[in-house]
Amino acid sequence: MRWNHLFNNKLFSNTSAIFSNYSFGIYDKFKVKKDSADYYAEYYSGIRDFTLKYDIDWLPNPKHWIKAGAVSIYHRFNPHAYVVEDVPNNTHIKDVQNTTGIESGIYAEDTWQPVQSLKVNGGLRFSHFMATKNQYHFFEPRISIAWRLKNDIALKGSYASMNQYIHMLSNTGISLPTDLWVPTTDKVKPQQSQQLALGMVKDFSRHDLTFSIEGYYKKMNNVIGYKEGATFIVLDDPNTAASKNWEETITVGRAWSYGLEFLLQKKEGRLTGWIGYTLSWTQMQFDSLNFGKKFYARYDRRHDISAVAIYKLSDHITLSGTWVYGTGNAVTLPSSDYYINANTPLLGGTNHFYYNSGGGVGFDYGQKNNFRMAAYHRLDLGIQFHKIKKWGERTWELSVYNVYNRMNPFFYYSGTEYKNDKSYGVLKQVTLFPFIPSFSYNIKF
Amino acid sequence: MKLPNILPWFIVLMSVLTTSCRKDASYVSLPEFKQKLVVNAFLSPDQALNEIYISSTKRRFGELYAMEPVGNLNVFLSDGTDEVKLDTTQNDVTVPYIIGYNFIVKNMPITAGKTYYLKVISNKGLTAETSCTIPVKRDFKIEVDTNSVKSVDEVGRNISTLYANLSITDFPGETNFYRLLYIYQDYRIHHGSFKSFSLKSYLMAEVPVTHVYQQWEGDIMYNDNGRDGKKFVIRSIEFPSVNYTDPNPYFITDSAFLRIYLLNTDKPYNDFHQSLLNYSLGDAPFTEPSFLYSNVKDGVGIFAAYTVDSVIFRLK
Repeated sequence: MRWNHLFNNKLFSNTSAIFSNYSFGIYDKFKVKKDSADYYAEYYSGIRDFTLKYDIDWLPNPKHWIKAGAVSIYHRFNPHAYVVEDVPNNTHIKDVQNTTGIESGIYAEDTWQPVQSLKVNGGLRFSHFMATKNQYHFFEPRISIAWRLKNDIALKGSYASMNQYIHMLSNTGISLPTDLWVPTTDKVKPQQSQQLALGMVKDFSRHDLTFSIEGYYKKMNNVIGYKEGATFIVLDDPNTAASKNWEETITVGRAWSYGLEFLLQKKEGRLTGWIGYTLSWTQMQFDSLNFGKKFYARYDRRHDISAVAIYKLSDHITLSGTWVYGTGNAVTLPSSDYYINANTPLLGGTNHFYYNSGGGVGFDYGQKNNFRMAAYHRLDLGIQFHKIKKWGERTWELSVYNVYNRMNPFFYYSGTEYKNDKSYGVLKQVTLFPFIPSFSYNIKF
Repeated sequence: MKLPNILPWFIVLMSVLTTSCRKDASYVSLPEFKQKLVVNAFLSPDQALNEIYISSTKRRFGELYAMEPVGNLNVFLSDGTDEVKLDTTQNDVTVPYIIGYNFIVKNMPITAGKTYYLKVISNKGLTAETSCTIPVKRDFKIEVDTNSVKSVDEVGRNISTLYANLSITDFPGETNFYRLLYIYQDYRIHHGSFKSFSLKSYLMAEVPVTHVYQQWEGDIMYNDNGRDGKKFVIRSIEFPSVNYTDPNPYFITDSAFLRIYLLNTDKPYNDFHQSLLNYSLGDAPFTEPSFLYSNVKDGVGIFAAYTVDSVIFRLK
């Protein structure tokens, strides 16, 4: 819900009340008899937010645009839940770990245009997070400058200091990707980051084109990751799962991200759209992971391309197309394995020690996130038929998702196949969304 | 073409195209197999026989072989002054599907406080280098405090439960890593002079040895973090209760002993076994793969060292 209020032509405000709910879950269900609920286990992770927000805009004169506001969000996190109904064994477990936190902030900023060619935006935000016992508060300064050199060229630069009270936790194996959102707590500190960006914008007015290039560098502290060998869920062992605290499964480190973004836009004419390309690197370092060495994050994406085109064939027909490309995720896949013994000193009749040959197979991964999944790309096409009616506008749309049926991998798994008395190690992939046609009907009134 | 003729083909086409699928991974380069030598050795002056086991990593993708030959191996052990070439004995017959060789350490005394350098060269062009330092012998003052508690169990029997706290005094000014093994031994009247290890089977879960690779125990390694130079309890043992008013003749003992072995290990020994504790293949959702510690240059595996302090404590 949002309420806009206009005090006068120089002062107005927005008041918002927002509710959002996000949930992610998996479950394991087993029935001995039809229509019975003999065994049921469910895991889910969710965030429920209640937000109150007030923003005020004041334009005292043509050279200043001052904004200020306050926001308060009541987060209710559920980073771990486990429910078992095991009727035959008379087991009923309901382990729901809810965590709450209140995130608040007040800010003020001024967009100042001292001369026609220069625009400066400076602001300060005070952010606060209240966990169960501990409180965190930070000042977050930010500034951005845009300087128009000529009519068609502008330079821009920005700096921002930010704190994030919700962490994303990503696994690094080749299996099902399980990104979880977990909160800042008394033990887990907020993620802090500083970002510097420099860029240039050039207009090609004769062709209705705008080209921009921007380089950025971002440094993050208190980034979290799974500990090696950690598990967030134990579906098969309710007793273990019930006592598991997600905070014990994580470790804290640092991250760096930097890159270049190119964007060519066409905003006018029958053909509109853009082509964007990002070249970037994202690395992480944890003292207790990967032997302390840096490694590429799962979502380190060297190349990211998006091309969007909308062509107005007539007043009633529009054609649209989107092509996206992204370098595959970096995940951890062993390149070889080997047999290894633990040292197991046993009493060998007398006081002699020796190690026996009890052992198993270890994997040689090389480095963490050493393997690149296949690149993700697809083409979507659509055609829209518009018609103005007395009551508004209706649109029929026929579209096709993944036109050339690219088998983008969702996750991988490895195994062994046997052919002609020989064994072969294979890597399999699972694809979720192949070629999908769709129809839609929209009305606007 | 009339609509009724198109429809079945359309349905078949849509069914094929719009179904998610599992298939061989495509558009990717599988990790290249780079063969490495595997070193597996734990040296100790308190060990009657010091062996060094050399094997090879195996490929994970493509045609799999039962073994990846390592070629002819030359293994050299040096203490910084002298160097000896070690001889292999035989293939490890206990692991038939892996090729590997045991090298017996001869003509090179393993001495506490010394650093040993291992170099392995194969005629296939594989090499591995590593070193370890045997911990200096220390007197850790192993002590045992026992306490017997009498009570009545749930079926009304008078039972006695023996508790033992095993403590050691850490050597100050250095980081120490420990591993503990204890063995219970008793002599049963029932068997005459027969020496029994009966309780060992009861206590197997408590004995910090890893008979089977998959059964690493959660607390087999200790360190002196936060208790440098101090005396601390390294393990508390609760022995199985016995009925003292109406004992089973089979369990009546003449005497009982607790044999305690304290391993003082180097850091690689600790780090390797800690990485075993956390070991996970990471092939399940929400589960992270983990890495085995290695201190072998150009190869993988472990070359570590320990010394042993032991004491025999009479319980009865």
